[in-house]
Amino acid sequence: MLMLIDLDNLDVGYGSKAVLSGVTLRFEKGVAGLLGPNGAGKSTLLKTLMGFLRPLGGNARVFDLPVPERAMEVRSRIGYMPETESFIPGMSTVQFVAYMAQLSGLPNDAAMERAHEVLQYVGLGEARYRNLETYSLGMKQRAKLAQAIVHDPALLLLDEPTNGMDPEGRREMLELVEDLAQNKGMSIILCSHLLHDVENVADQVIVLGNGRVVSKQVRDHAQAATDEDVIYLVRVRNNRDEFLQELTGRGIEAKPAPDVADGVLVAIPPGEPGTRVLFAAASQAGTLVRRLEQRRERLEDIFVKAVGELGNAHL
Amino acid sequence: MPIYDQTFRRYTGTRHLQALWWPVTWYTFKPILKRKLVWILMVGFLLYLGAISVGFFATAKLGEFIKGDQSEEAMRAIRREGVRMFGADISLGTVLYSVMQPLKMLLWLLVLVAGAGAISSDRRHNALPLYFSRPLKPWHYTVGKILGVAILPLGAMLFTQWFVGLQYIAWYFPFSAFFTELPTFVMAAIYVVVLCGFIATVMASFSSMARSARVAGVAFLIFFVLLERLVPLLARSTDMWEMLSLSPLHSLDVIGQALLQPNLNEISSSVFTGGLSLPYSIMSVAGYTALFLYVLRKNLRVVEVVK
Repeated sequence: MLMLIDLDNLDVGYGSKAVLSGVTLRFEKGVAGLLGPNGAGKSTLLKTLMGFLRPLGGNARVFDLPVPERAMEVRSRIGYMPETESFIPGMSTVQFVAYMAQLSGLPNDAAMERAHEVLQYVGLGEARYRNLETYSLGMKQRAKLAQAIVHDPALLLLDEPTNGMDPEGRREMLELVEDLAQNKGMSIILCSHLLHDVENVADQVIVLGNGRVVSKQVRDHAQAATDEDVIYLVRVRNNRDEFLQELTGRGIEAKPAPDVADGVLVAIPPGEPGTRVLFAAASQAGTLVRRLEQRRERLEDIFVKAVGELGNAHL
Repeated sequence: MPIYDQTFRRYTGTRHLQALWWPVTWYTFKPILKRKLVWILMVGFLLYLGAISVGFFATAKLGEFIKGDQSEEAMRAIRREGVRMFGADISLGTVLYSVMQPLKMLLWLLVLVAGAGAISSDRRHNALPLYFSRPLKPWHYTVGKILGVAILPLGAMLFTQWFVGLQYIAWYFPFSAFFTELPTFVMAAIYVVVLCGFIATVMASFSSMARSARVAGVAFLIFFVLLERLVPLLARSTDMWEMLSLSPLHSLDVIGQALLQPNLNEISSSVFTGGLSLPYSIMSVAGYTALFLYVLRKNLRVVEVVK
């Protein structure tokens, strides 16, 4: 299968300042979430994929084409939604989107037709004759998405697509992203510092920190159920510390739940003995299990753990 | 799945990646037509044309209005007042060149109004990543913007030149003179293209340096006015007339004179170009053009460099 993105030991920087170092990634298709705190190098990675930046070292290939050497061919097949507020003033939104389509090589008539269609698709159908400068921030985000998809790209690069949107707008934007990937056959790289956005739509998550890949996770829940630890929130009546010690003594990873006073987060390895070990440990600690709740390992845990590990490594 | 999902279709049509400068030209030119100041300046062009047309009519019909020696005396009086472009005894090149002199100010202003925001507006609204995330090469953008800025002034100047030239021939000469004077018309068109192209390039370059149209416009005016005023003083004081080539307007004027071959004694409002030679003038205009194109290209950075 064609590798959409293939990065091999990539180093990128601005002048002498290194922003990405030793990034190795492969991405076939689907939605990849690029997650990381501000300044982690997410936007820089997107700009490198488009050929805006020349790598200091390593190789970058998009659609099996080297960038930046063949950036023009790459750019004709991608759509980019920048993080910053970007638009061309003095024209209606439908004209703006049609203009962007023409710059991607679409003939005039087809560009205008597609502009109407995608603006309808992103929910700006009623407002498409208004100038972009009169739009709210959320509407501008939708218009940016429209210009990114108007030429029907194979790969969509979205940089913080839900910035400045209200909860309802965010939900709709993420629905659109999901629909583009699942039903329209577009592959998407979703760049965000918001865990929730990535968690909801990405099936592959790459966590960046300080310009390095901190963690790569394939969000395959079936696989998680069989190969990975299952996380439980266990609430006990009393003796929480003894319960924790008992679990640790049995070689089971456990820690106090941060948001529940009597709760313990326990990672049970797959297979036997399953949850029975919890009840045995509780009995040994002289307490009772009041509530047992299964939690899949949330992306937040991965993110915090990964960035935390990186912080410790630098200390 | 959103209910508006059904509106989206895959695109399987053709894609043309060869002439991407054209949409840039068109979408730069189109908003210019919406500016009131542009239309006020265009009215200025029309008023000028009207005045010249009346002048042609009046001088051509002078013999019918005023009989005998009085008409010749009236014609001499008109010439004494500095209005020398009317009459069959001067060349078409002189007429076309002299038409340009008062129009240059209008041309500057038109380019200023049309082009100050051409690129600064894109920079201000972070639009460059939108352009260059597409298969648009920097030269597509540069040529598109310069042409977009130049089209209207170029059209106005060419129309003025041909309108005046044709009237001049129609009033004073037989129709066949049009064909014998065709090379002069072509030379005039080349001069206008060079003039408008250069001024539009300079404007686009200043526009790329700023994030505000106002700042770009002021810088553009200062550049031309300062050089036009200071360089002749410098050349005079040092007696080095080739130094005039530092002023692009003087150099352009020399190129115009070389193309149209006007009789400068007949034109009271011509720019003083001293002993500035044509090769120096061409080098000056080419040098400035290269410099401004280089600056423009450098300012099309999509990625800000972190210091």
